[in-house]
Amino acid sequence: MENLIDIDEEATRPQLSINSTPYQTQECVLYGSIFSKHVPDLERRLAGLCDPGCEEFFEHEMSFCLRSLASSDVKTDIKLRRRFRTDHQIQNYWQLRYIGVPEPDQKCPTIIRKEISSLVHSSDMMTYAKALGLRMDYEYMTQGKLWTKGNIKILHSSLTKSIRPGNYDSSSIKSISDSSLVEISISLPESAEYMPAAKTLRDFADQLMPLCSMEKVDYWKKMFSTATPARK
Amino acid sequence: MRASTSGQNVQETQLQTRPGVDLVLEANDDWKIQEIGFDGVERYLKPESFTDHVGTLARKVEWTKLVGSQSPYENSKVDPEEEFDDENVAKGSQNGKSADFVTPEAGPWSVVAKQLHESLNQLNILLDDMSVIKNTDYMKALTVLDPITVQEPSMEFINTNRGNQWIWKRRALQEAVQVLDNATKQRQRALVNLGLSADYIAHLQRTQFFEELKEMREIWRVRKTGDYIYGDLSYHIFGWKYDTPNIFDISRRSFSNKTENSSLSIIEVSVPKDLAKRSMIAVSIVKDEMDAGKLFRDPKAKKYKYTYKENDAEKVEVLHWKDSLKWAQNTLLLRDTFSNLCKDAIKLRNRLSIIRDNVLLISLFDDYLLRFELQWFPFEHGEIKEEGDVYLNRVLREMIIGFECTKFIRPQFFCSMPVTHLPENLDLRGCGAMTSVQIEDRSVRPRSILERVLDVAAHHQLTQIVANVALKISESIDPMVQHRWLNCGRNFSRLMFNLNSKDYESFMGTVRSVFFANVSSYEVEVEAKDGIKIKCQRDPKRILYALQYSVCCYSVSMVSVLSRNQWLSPFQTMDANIYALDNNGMTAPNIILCNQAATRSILFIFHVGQEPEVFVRKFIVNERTSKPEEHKWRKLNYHKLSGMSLCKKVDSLLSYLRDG
Repeated sequence: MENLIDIDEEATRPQLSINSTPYQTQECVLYGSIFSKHVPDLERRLAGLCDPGCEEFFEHEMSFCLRSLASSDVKTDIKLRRRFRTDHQIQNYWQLRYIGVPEPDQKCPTIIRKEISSLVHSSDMMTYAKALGLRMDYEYMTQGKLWTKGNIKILHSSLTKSIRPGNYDSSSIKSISDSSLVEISISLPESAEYMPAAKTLRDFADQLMPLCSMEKVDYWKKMFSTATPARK
Repeated sequence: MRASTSGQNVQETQLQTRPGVDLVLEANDDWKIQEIGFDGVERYLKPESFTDHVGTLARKVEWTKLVGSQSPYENSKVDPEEEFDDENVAKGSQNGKSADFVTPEAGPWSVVAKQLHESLNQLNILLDDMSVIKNTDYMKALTVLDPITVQEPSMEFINTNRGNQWIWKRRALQEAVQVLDNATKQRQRALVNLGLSADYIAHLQRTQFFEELKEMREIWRVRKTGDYIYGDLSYHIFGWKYDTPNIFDISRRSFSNKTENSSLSIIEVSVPKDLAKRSMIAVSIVKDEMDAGKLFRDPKAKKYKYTYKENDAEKVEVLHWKDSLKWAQNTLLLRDTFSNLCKDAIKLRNRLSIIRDNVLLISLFDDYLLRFELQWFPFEHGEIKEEGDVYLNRVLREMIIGFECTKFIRPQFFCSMPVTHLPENLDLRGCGAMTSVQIEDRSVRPRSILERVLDVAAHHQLTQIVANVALKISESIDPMVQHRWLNCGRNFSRLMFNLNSKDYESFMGTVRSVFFANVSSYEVEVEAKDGIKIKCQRDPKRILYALQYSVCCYSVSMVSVLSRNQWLSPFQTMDANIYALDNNGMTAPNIILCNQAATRSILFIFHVGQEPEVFVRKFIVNERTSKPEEHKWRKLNYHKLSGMSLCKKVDSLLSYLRDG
């Protein structure tokens, strides 16, 4: 058989490059919240709905923005994430993530936004960020679990913040609220048609209904009214 | 009033039997319109007031009848006694002797007055009530528009209120007591009626239903929407569930006869009609020959072609859900698998395939075909004979299950990154990152089940071929060939051959007596111990030839070892060539020996797969002066040499020619 040319080789190639994570994607997102004491109920529900198995995470997220002097209102949000888990040699890994402005699509049942994320290995990321001219808006820590169902990704996490910035040990971490954040999302290739995916996402989100109502939050409307203390 | 005092006695007796005035509270009638003036003004008739009403009623009384026609209307004949009575009353009241002063007892209207008084009292009470209602906040009637604000008692209040807790506890206890009571009552009644009361049976059935439902939930996905309970037949572990065509309904079986056989399950399931059959996929390797028999099904034959018909409904109904669901899911799984196999077969453009009547034929190698057949059997109990190759059937099944159990999607390093199909070891980031070209080169491309089954089947077939050849070659006793499977895998197996010369084991120390046959999915190769490989493709004849050639090489080295025997005077090996060819151009390893005295040379030619040839001639001392007729090779009859085995024969020949 080895002397035959496998024509099908060509056909599998593009499929694989879709599977491998592209640099720029667009994602459909829905947000919701649930009281932390009801999270076990949500987990039971998710265990029934999702693929078996979930992954725990504990990550630190910092949100930066880039402001030019001329127009201080226009800013670019960049999120920087790192993971608090040092069990298998994953120190000094950072995720640099740019989240675009949501598409103004009223019909679409979910938030659609462009997203560029890249993973960086660096021991002095903060110096780099500073050198880029990024300024930190706010930071928080997320701790929770990740579930999948097909290509749908479900995250629920409790948000905490540090009392003393720079110290992230368990003594200085304080919970922001008694609610957990629930996030459901699908990632799509950059220019793909997002409507069918958004609908399936909505359908899935409706199944969590009595526990947690997933919404298309208009978070960007408040975007310019918050985070002023960083400006001087 | 005064006018009628004369006939008071009579009136009293009459009026006592009469009831008081009926008092009815009701809405005022609309005023009646008397006339409408020319200017359009309506004039209303004034409704009768209470006094008017009494007046009309009084007018209706026929006084003549009551009093008698003779009695005068005027108060002319005033009875002194009566006057006195009146006075008495007045006096008594003045003295305060009678408490009933307020209630007028005299006169023909006294009863009426009493009733009236009472009625007015009632009215007063009513008025009071209404004023209380009006003035008290919590008794205010709400209109539709009023917002209802129910003040919830605070948690602390509830917690601290012991009374509430007592009430709850008592209520919970009462409920429990009710349930227990009910149970004992049922049990007693059942005992009385020898367990046949209708209630008890119904109760039993209900309990049984829920217990079986619980049991079903352990294996099957069951869900309730509204009043319907249904389950999911689909076999996918990952992804979406409850696909509409794969849903079965669950209902409670209603036993018409109470004493009906209890072997029937109380739960009745209705599987989709297209899945109501049993199925099996038979995988076999067939040879594409004239006499291979029917590769396809006979289109007229009814075997394996069962489809659900309405008249089977009763048979299906009595099946236990454990069986019917298992069969239906198997049918679904195999149907999907077969269609996937067909899809993959169409995609594989370098292999010919034919699909007809639930039979898929795809070329395996050479003239072997792999045959998948989807068989359908009636939806009823009974053993189904497994057809095709059992090993391949199992392999296919295992691959299907393995595929279903594989999670292809994986979250990445950070939870906010998109999910990926890439395995973790290729998802290197940072300094160890790979380019997309490297990733694509290193990633194991997912292969379809069909491709993998084809590989396994090809390997299976090749191992069988090799095993047959190995059996054939093991029949030879000189030298003795033993074979042993070193490694048996899905796609690669290794067979070891061990050669042995009887009675001459002590000489074999340095001889390479071992060689191997490697079987992959594509070809067979025979490997000598020094790593030289002979490719045999998939041809059994070439495999046999390669094996026999290895045996010949062994014989050559065996002869050379024997010739150096220390007890006898050793022979010299003049020449040994395992790559020599014979007159027909076939490989024939040979060896030429010469005795110590340099008088005789002996030639052994080992033709592959044949008896060795032995030649002897006088040793050529000087090639220039020698005459060819004096140095002719003389062939010895191999059979007539003394000894049974090659070694023995060589041994005796050498000892004979040692000095000659």
